[in-house]
Amino acid sequence: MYKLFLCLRYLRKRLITFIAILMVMANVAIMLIVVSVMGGFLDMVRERSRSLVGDIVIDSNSIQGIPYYQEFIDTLKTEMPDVVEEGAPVIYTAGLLKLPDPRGPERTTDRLDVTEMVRIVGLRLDAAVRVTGFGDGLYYNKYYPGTTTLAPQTQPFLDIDAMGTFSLPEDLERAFLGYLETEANAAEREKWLPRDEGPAPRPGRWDPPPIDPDAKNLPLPGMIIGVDLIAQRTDDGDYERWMYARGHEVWLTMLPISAIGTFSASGVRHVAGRYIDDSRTGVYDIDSRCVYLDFDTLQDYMDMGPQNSSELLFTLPSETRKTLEREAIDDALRQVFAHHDFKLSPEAKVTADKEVEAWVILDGAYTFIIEQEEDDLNVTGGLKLPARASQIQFKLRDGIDPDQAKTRIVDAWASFFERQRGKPDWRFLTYVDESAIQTWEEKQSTILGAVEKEKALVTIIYGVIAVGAIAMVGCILYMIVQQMTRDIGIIKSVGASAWGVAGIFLGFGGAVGVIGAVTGSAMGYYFVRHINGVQNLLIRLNPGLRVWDPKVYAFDRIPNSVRIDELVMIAIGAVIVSIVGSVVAAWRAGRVWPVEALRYE
Amino acid sequence: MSKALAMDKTTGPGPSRPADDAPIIRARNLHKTYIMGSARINVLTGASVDISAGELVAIMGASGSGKSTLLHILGALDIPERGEVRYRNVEIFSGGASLRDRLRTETFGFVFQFYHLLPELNVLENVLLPAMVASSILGWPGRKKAARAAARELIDDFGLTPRIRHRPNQLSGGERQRVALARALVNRPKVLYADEPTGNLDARTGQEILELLERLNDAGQTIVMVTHDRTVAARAHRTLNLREGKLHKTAGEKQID
Repeated sequence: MYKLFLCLRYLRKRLITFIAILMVMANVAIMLIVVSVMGGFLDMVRERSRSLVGDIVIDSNSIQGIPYYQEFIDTLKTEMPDVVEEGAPVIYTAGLLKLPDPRGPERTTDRLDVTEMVRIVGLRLDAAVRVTGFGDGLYYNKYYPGTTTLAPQTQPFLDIDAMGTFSLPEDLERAFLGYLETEANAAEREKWLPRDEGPAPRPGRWDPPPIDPDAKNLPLPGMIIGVDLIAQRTDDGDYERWMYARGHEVWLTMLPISAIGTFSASGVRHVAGRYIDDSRTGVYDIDSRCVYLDFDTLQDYMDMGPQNSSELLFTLPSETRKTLEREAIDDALRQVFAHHDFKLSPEAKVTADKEVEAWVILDGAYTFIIEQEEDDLNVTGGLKLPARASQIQFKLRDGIDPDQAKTRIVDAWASFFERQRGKPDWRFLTYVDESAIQTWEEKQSTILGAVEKEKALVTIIYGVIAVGAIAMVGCILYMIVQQMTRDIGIIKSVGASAWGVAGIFLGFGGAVGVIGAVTGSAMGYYFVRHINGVQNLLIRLNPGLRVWDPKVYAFDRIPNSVRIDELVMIAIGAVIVSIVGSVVAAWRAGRVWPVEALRYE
Repeated sequence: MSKALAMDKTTGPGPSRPADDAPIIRARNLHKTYIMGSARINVLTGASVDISAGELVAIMGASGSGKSTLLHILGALDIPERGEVRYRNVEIFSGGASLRDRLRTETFGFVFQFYHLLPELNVLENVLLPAMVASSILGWPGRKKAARAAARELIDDFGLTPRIRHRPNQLSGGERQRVALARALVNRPKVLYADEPTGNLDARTGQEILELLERLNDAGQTIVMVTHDRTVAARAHRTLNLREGKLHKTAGEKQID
C-alpha cells in the first residue's frame, strides 16, 4: 500500500516530477502529431493512389505496348467472372501540350500560348470510370453530370438572349440543375441561385459566343487536362482558372512508336482537341502532367491500332544495301528480330523499282519494303499487326484479394500468350514477355513507398528524440532518488523491502508515464484535430509561417485524423519507456542500505 | 492509559514489574568493522547482550564507540560481520532480507536522534507509514480504519492532535520526536529501539520524551535506548557500557559473555 501512497505523494509534491511529466507529455504529443500527420498523409496518398488505377494493372515495360489486350480482357471476364468485374485498356505516351492563346490566332503580339511537356493518356472513359476512381476527379462532370465525353465535339458557348444575358446551353443547364436537385448537393443550391443582376453563376468557365461561330465550332476530340496544367493552385487549396474555357481548342504533339520500338513511319503527329474537363486526382505529379484522350483516338494517332500496311522501318547495313542478296537480308532481319529464328522463305521475292529498291515478300503474310534513300537503306515491314495498348487495368469483384487475383491472372496471361503462338505474327510480339502484372499497391509502390519511408524516417527521428527525453526522465528519477536517499532509509527502517522501495520508483516512473501519456495524447489529439486552424492562425499572423503548402503536398488540408490504435500504441510506449527509464533509479533505490541512508544528510 | 499505550502482554511486564527471565533478544559475539579509506575501525569486537521483555535498557558509550551500530544490528537495520542476534530464539540474520524487513515492520520500532520523518507527509501520514508498509494494497482497505484509529490515538496520547495535518517542518523538535515515537509504536512493536532520543532536544523537551518512554515501558514496552547522557541512562532499569567493542555492565564493569 505504501508504494502507491508514496508514489502518488511524490508525484504531487515534487516540482521536478512535473518537469518529467511535461517531458513525457510533450514527447507523446509530438509523436502523435508526427505519426498522425504523416500517417494521414500516407492514407490520403494511398487513397488517391488506389483510385488512380485498377485493382490489377498489366503494364507493358516496352514502348511498343501490349497486343491482344481486348482479347485478354474478354478472356478474363469469361474465364474468371467471379474475380474480374471489368477491364480497361490504356495507352500512355509522351507528348507536348499546346494551349493556344484563347484570344485567337489573329492576335499576333503578346501572345499567351503555353506549351508543356505532358503524359498523354488514352482511355475509354466509361470503362475507366468503372475500373478506377477517375470519374470522381472530373470537375465539369461533377457539376454537369454525364456531359463529359471524349468523343469529337464542338465548343459549348454560352447562349445570349435578347436582353444580352448569358446562359448555358440547354443540355448543360439541365445537367447542372439535375446536380443541384440531388439531396447530397442541397447545401450548394443557395450558392448558384439566380441573381438580381447578371447571369446566375455557374461552375467552371465558359466562353461567350464567338463572332464567327463556324470558325470555332469544328468537332474535335475531347480532351481532359490535368487541372494544374490549366489552373493555378491557390494557397488555400482551391484553383484559380486561367483563361481556358470548356471547349477551348488545344493541341497535342506526339511521336508514334512502331511495334518493334522504332519511330513510326507516319512521323510526328500534331493534333487538335477540345479541353472539355479537368482532372483533379489530388496528386500534383499527375494533375500537372497528364492529358487524357479517347483510347481509340490516341491509338489511331500513335499507330497502335490494327495495321494492314507497312509502318516498320529497319536500317540495313550498308553492305546489304548494296547487294540486296537474300542471305545478307536474312542476316540483317535476324539481327532486327534478335530473339527469333527469322529467315526469308524461298518464296520471298526481292524486287526493286525507281523509288523502292526492293520488295521482300515472306510467305505472302508479311511484306517488307526496302527503301533506298540518299544515305540510308531501310527495311519497312508491312504486316498485319494486332492493336496495342500500353496498359490493361482490371477492376476485381468486391472482396477479392488483389494478391490472390494477381496469381490467377499471371497464370491466365501465360496461358493466353501461349495460345497466341499459333497466330502468324506472334514472333514479332516479344514485348509481351516483358509485361508486368501488378496489384494496385505494387503499381503505386514508388509513391507509397516514398511516403512510407518518409513517415518511418520522421517517426524514427522523433523516436530518437523521445528516447533522449526518456533518458532525461530517467535522469530526473535518478536525481530524485539521490535527493531521497535519507527518505529511502526511513522507509526501509520501518520495514519496506528493497523490492518495495524499487517498486515505489518503478510505479513513480509508470505514473509519470501514464500522466504524461494521457495528457500528451489529449494535447496531441486536440492539436491534430485543429491543426489546420492553428496553421490558419499562424498564416494570419505571418504568411511566411505556412508549413503545409498545398502546391507541395498535393493536398490542400493538413491531414487531421488521429488513428486510435496509433494513439494507444504511443501512449503505451510512453508508459513502458518511462518505466524502463525508472529502472536504474529504482534499482539504485532498492539497493540503498538503510543505515547508510539514515546517516545521509 | 490509552489502549495505544497498553502493550501486548507477550512483551512481558513493565519496569515496575520484574522482567521475564527468558530474554527476547539475545545477541552474541557481534563483530562489525568499518573501512574508511585505508583505516579499519573495529567498532564491535564481540559484543553480546540479552534483553528481556519489558526491560528499559540503556546502552552508553563514548562518541564513536559503536552504540548506534549495535542498536541497528539488534534492530535488523544492519548486519554484523560475525555473531548472531536472536529474537525469541529465531536468528534474525539467517532468514534473509525478507525476515529482517518483516521484523522491522511488525516487531521492532525505531526512534532516531534526528527524528527521520518524511517531509512530504503530515503527522498522521508519517505515523501511519509503518501500518501501510505492513499491509498489502488489497489488505489496506480492511485495515485502514483500525490503523488510522490507532495512529490517531497515539497522536492524541502524545498531544499532537492539533498538529495532525502539519508537516514535519511545521513542528518543533519535541513534537517531531513525539511523531517519530508514535510512528515507531503504531504497529505495536515488541521492542522499541531509541537512538539518542533526546540528543537533539533541549533539556525540557528531552525530559518530556523520556517521560513518554517511561510511560510506555510502564505499559510493558521493551525499550533499548542508546544515549551518552548519564542522567538519561539513569532512568533505565539496566545500563550497559560499550567500550572497545564490547558491552560491560555498569555495576562491576563485568563483561557480558
